[in-house]
Amino acid sequence: MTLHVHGIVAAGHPLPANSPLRLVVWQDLAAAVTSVPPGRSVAADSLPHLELLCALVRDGPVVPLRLGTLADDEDAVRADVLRAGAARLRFQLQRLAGVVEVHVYVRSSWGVGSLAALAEDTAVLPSDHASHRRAYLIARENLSVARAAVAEMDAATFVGPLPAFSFLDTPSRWGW
Amino acid sequence: MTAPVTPGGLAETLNILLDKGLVIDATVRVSVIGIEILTIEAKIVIASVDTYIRYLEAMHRLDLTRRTATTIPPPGTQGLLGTHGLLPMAVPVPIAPPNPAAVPLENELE
Repeated sequence: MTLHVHGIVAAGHPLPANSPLRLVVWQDLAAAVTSVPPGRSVAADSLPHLELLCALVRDGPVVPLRLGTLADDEDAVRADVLRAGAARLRFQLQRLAGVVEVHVYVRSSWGVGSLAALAEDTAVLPSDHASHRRAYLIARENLSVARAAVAEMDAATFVGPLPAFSFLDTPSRWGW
Repeated sequence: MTAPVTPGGLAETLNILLDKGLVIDATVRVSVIGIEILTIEAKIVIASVDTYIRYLEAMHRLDLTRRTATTIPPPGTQGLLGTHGLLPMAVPVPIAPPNPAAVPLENELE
C-alpha cells in the first residue's frame, strides 16, 4: 500500500500514543509514515499531516517533509528517502536538536522584540490584512517563557511547538 | 515543556506551511505531489471557467445589440474646447430585468 511520508526523526524517536504513525527505520534514521488507502485524497490529509508532525516534535527533532510525499512501500522509504538523503537528513536533525518553531500572529508587530531576543532565528511569514505573522526558532527550554510573553501581548496568537518548517533553508546562522 | 498547539490557530498555520517542508528527490518509487496542483490550481481553474463563461455571455449580448442597431451615432463632443475623446460612445447593452421569482423581496427577508 502507498505510504504517506510525513517527516524524518531519529530511529529511537517515541511515537505519540494512539497515533496512526509508524516508523520505517534505516540505521539511525526513521521515517514517520501512514498508509494511504486507495482513492484517499492527499489534500484531505493536509491537516492531519501537520497535526501528526506537531505531536512528534514534542519528543525531539523532526525534519518535516513537504505534504504529499508518497512512497510505494517501506523498501522505497528506506532506499530512496532515508539512504539516499542520509547525509542531509542527519545534518538537519542535528541542527534542529533542542529547538522548535513557534508562530506568533499579531495585529501589530509592536512588542515582539522580547520574543526576537529570545529566539535563535526569526522568519517573517506571509501576512494578511488582519495579522502580522512571524516564525521563531526557540530553544525547547524557552518555550514556556515565549508562550508567557505572547500571552501578555494584545490579541496575539501563539502556535507551537511546530517542526522547523520555516528554518530548513537557513543554515548560515550557525556558519554551516 | 508540554505546550499544546493552539487548536484554533492550526488551520491558519496549515495555510502558511502547506508548501513548506523538505522536498525529497523524486524517484520511480517516491513522488511528491504538487500540493499547488491539488488544491490551489483546482480552485483557479474552476474560477476561470466561470469567469470565461460570463465573459462569453456578455460578448454575446453585446454582439446582438450591434447587429440590431442600424447606425452607430458619431462620437459627441466630450472634453475641453469640444475635443473628441478617444473612446466611442458606449454601446447600450440591454440588461434583462431581474426575475422577481428568483430575487427575494426585501420584505420577505425580514
